[in-house]
Amino acid sequence: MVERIERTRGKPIRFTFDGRAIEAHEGETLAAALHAARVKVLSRSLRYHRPRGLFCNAGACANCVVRVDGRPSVRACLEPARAGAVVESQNAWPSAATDVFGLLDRAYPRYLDYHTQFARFPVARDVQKIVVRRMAGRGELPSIPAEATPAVPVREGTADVLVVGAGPAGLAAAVAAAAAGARTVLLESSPRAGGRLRTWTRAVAGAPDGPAALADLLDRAGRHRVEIRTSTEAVAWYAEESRLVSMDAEGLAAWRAGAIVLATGSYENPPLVPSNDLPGVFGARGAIALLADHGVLPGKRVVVAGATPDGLVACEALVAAGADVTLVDEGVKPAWDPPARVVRLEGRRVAAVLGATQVEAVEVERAGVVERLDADALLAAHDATPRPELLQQTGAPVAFDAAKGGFHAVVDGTGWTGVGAFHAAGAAAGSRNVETSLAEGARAGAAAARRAMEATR
Amino acid sequence: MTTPKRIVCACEDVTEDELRDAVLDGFADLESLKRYTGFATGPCQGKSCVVLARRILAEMTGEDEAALGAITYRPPTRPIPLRFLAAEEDDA
Repeated sequence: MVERIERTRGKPIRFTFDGRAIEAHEGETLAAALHAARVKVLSRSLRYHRPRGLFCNAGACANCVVRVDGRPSVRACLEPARAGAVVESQNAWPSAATDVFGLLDRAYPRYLDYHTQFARFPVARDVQKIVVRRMAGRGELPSIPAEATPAVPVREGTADVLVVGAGPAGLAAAVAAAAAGARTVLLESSPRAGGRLRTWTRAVAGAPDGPAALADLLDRAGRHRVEIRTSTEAVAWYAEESRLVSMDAEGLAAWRAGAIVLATGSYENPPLVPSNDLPGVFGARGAIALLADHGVLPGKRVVVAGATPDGLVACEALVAAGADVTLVDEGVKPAWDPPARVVRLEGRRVAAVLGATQVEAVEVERAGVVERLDADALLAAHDATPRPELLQQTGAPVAFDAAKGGFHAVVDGTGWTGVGAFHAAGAAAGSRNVETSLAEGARAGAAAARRAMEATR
Repeated sequence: MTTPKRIVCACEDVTEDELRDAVLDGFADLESLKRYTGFATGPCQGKSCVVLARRILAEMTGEDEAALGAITYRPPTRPIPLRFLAAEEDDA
């Protein structure tokens, strides 16, 4: 079995990673192409030069940053693979795979406490500062000539309804707003719209699966002229100016809108176990997005941690693609049975990740008894956490969800947050599944359209 | 061979041991803990680290997670190239 499963692909292209030629296809992200070429260690970490790779595959974390054609800290999960690109690991010498400064990780087995280390020995402290600062870091400054990257002014944008996030809630909101006659703009940080619908294997909203529901929504969005801007991330809300600022490859845009729907979704978390940062540890949604978007398997022998809906969907997608899958329930009672080919370990938790530079095995534990599972990937399928940034910047009232580990907006029946022209839907408003996200998104979109059109009347 | 650290903040390489020691040293709220250890100050601007740190802090202090609140997410929420900010006209 190969990492790339059979499917129709874009034109073959080639780029280099740390000097090595990587075969890719147009339409793939750097992360997908590198993973398919079995390159999992993309860079080294800031302080201890620990190996790092793809985790969330959704632009939320920064574990997959690489240097691309002289630009530092580019997220490989969002960056398209381009023919001839020079891609390099960061913070590693001579390469991410064999970084000599990885010694720092062993020199400080617990952690380096820079507040107290050598505090009584000023000379040693100063020397250490110089050495550590040289070795630590986030790569080198850009090597692109300043003339090639001129300053660009902030663009202005307007919409009746501005929707942030093109997952199920955001897409449903945008379609409903546009169907009600509002000029609707939908911002999506990743290169593709759909969010969890891209990977959802179950029937939803009358469609046989997520991709079918997504195709239907995109079709309706097209008919109602929703302006969908992918690879465009909302990065700020400035209340004093009433402007939401977005960023894409070209620059910034300041948006004015009659109403705004926050459908910012949620992000995945790793389990807090030893070596939880090793390449090969993924968020479950992100890992199967690799499969759905690019036909690239996250691993061949995969442990899924958490019998949550995300975990079960991951089991289904992986088994269908031919991977060997073990489901560790993490104390979660599954809402439905995983496929028969999945090995189920009940009443157990992931206790540790093992591997030299990437996942080689996973230890699972039950009542103090530990067993070792050989694996090349661990998918964390715990409850994802609502994205907090924009929600907090609006000042909307929030409630805490302990299982998800974060705050979501408290909304009324129309998705209104109680603050200004802000509506929220999906995980941002406390929704727990795709079905309710779609329904609440549609309600919030329709209400946002009414609000926007009343404001302009 | 990578050592078996439990990483709370992957951007800044902050471990669970480091956080726990800092809490014992008296940095027993999210903002102080963030300022002392540097978690949540990297390019992701505070995602999984905040979830994990809040859980650790709640467990150690006995406080309610909800009451521990959140860190402050100031705009912009992402690192932005300076050239995207440099072309503003003077508005003296």
